[in-house]
Amino acid sequence: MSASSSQFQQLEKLGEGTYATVYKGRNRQLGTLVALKEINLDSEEGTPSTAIREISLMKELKHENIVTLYDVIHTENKLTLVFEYMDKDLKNYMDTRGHKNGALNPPIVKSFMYQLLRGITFCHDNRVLHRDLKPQNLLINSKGELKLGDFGLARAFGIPVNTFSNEVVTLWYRAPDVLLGSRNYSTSIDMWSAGCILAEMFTGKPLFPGSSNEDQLMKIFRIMGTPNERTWPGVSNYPNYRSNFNVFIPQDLRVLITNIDSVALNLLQGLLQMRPEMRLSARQALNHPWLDEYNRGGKSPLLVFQQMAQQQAQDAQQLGQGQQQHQQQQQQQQQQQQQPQQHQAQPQPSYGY
Amino acid sequence: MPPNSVLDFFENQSHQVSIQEYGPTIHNHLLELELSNESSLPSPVQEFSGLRMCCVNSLFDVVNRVGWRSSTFSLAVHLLDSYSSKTSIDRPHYRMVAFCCLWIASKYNENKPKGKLADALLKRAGYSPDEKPLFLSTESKILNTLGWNLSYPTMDSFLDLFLNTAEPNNVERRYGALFLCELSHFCPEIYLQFAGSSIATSAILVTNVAMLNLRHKHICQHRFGELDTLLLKSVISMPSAVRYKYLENQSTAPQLYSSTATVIRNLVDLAASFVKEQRQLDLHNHGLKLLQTSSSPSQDLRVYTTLPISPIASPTRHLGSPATTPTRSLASSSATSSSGRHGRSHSAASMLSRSLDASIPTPGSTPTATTFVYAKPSNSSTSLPDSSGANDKISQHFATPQIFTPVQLAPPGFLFSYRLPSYSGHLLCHYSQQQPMTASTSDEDMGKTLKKRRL
Ligand SMILES: Nc1ncnc2c1ncn2[C@@H]1O[C@H](COP(=O)(O)OP(=O)(O)OP(=O)(O)O)[C@@H](O)[C@H]1O
Ligand SMILES: [Mg+2]
Repeated sequence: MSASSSQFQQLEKLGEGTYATVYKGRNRQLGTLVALKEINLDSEEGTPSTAIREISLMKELKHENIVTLYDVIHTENKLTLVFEYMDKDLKNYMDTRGHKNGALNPPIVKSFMYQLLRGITFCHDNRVLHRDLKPQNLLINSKGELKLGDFGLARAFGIPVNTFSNEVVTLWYRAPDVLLGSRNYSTSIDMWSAGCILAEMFTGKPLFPGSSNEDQLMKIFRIMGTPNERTWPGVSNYPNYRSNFNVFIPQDLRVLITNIDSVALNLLQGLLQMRPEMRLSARQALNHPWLDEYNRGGKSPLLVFQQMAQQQAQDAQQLGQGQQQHQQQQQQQQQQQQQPQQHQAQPQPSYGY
Repeated sequence: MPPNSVLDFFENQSHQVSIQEYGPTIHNHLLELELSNESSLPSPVQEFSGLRMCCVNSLFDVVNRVGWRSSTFSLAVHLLDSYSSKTSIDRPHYRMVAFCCLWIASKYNENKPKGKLADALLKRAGYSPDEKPLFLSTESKILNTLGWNLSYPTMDSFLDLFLNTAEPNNVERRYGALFLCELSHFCPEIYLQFAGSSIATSAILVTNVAMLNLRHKHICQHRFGELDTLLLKSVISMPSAVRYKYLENQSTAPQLYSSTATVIRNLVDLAASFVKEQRQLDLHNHGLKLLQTSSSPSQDLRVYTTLPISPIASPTRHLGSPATTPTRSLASSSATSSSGRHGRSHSAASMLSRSLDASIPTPGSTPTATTFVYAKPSNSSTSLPDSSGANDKISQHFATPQIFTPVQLAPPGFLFSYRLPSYSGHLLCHYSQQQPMTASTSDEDMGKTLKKRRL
């Protein structure tokens, strides 16, 4: 923790969140890129609790699917977190790389989902709830690696029932039990968000884009069906439950998500369970047959991106035009050189859970 | 059933599922954290010991009154100790550092408070609002000195992993163990020398013993480990904030006859009994050493260190009811498991005398052939046995097959050949102590034990 702000050159803004602004930065000595997350310090309440939790938890969680925190720069009125640089968040990625409506190719969805679940599993194994999983907080680099970022709402959970705030998770990705007022949620809160993200990657559109707590619940009920004491024992005891909720019957998710295959649908249904205790855990989801090719096949989830880059390079080559072509060729060669290295860098066991 | 308890039931159930799934990995992770913290275990800063006690007491009081978690208190104390061992704090500033640690711990652990917490804490610490800038810069200094590392596995997190929620009396056991864990923060000789997981283990074991509600002589018989002993001693010197929370305050202290209040009362009784007994032992050993100069103590040592740990000879054994409950076997193993050393191993001679305590029937507890008469008041209050009378009783005692005590393994003759003088002396003071209890409350006591077992 000896870095000073002069060590980094501040470049363009990468994104803005509720309590911080993120800039691209360059290490003046090494020339490497970093992301600089700047947090203003309050003269009333000092260091925000979000920053305290984020720094402390991210220092504890070192994993290839979690963004690395390099350093903390603490000045009089500003706190700067130095993160590893990632090219895009998943939201940007879908907007720029997806099909016309933002949907991703199923092999890419599968690769991202696998990496997402690995990151979540690691968090939960280390008793950390992320509590703010959404495409904007999942970061993707040029290699196709997906990492969990923004641990501003994360916290360590004790094993017994804890009373948490229910003002967590961006509305669209918030679980129904939390919307109904549960404050004793646990790991299942992150699994609902993972389900929403899975659906969104397939369609390019958020699954439940509610505008208020009430509207969010209605959006969920409209698709998943309105719960009652028979389908969800105890539901009427939640603080926000009303007996006069509009009654909807469950919809077939295949109508909404046309390009989903039946195995992936099964996983999605496991994640989008209304009852928290019925939801798949991260490890169960990770071991789902849909992800067998990574788990048992030992395939690297990054392979699909390497193939895609290759394909693009070839396409460009066929267009064949002077200088541009030459550049592309060089790029392609570089990629081909990198490929075997990447294979070595990710030996099979590290991906086999 | 009020609506919330239904919800609690279901939420508890889903937590059970996550405990089953994540308990082992979380346990591993916490142990790893503990190991990594161990290397930087704060050393006690001598010059602040009195001040520390005072500040920790204030922090505990604040946590209790605001209704924060125990882990917030635990984390705050940890931060205070690590920080004070890493930098030098000037004395007038120490109290501010302590409250700042609590502030940081609450930001890490608690939900966002409504009001202006910093101002309230500053006021409570006794500083003027002008000193707020200093409070804020202290926060930064603490965070930077500690490298923003707040991942400290608190004792209560271990308690939850170690306690078996399916066992009866789990709530009471957790309450009692948490009480001991909280107390341990006040004693640097416990807190700074043992890992949190060991303290949590020991706290559970001591609570288990306390929940058996043993009578004085059985407590004497139980061997507590080094850490158990320290924990019990800490109960005797309970700081005011702890006393307030658990015993005095009408709203937070448990209702007088509730099961949680009983656990605390049992723990206090156990500690009192234990400390009294130990004081006796110390006195006794002192006398024994003087008497012993002619015999060879080294020989005794060899014989007695190999004796097995005595099971708790509570009356339930004699009555032929199920001899060992799971909790009891746990409790009796504590002496060996927790530290590998006997807490009360002042000398081999003390062990010997303890074995004697176990086997020699004080008149109040003499078993008869058919029924076990628990503490005959007439017997115990009137006669003090001379040495020959006691010997008769002992031979009777050895003839009773149901009663197992380690002394049976040693030939009686060997035991009494040259221990007798000191032994009877010991017995004498023992009687005078036990008299009031056995004489007046024996029937009630019996009832209590039975009730306890039914719980
Ligand atoms: N390491 C990084 N590399 C590249 N871009 C990043 C990085 N970290 C964050 N960003 C960008 O900055 C945005 C905001 O970052 P972040 O989510 O950490 O801030 P926040 O204030 O915590 O947001 P929130 O409103 O979700 O709490 C992200 O959505 C992402 O687009
Ligand atoms: Mg964000």
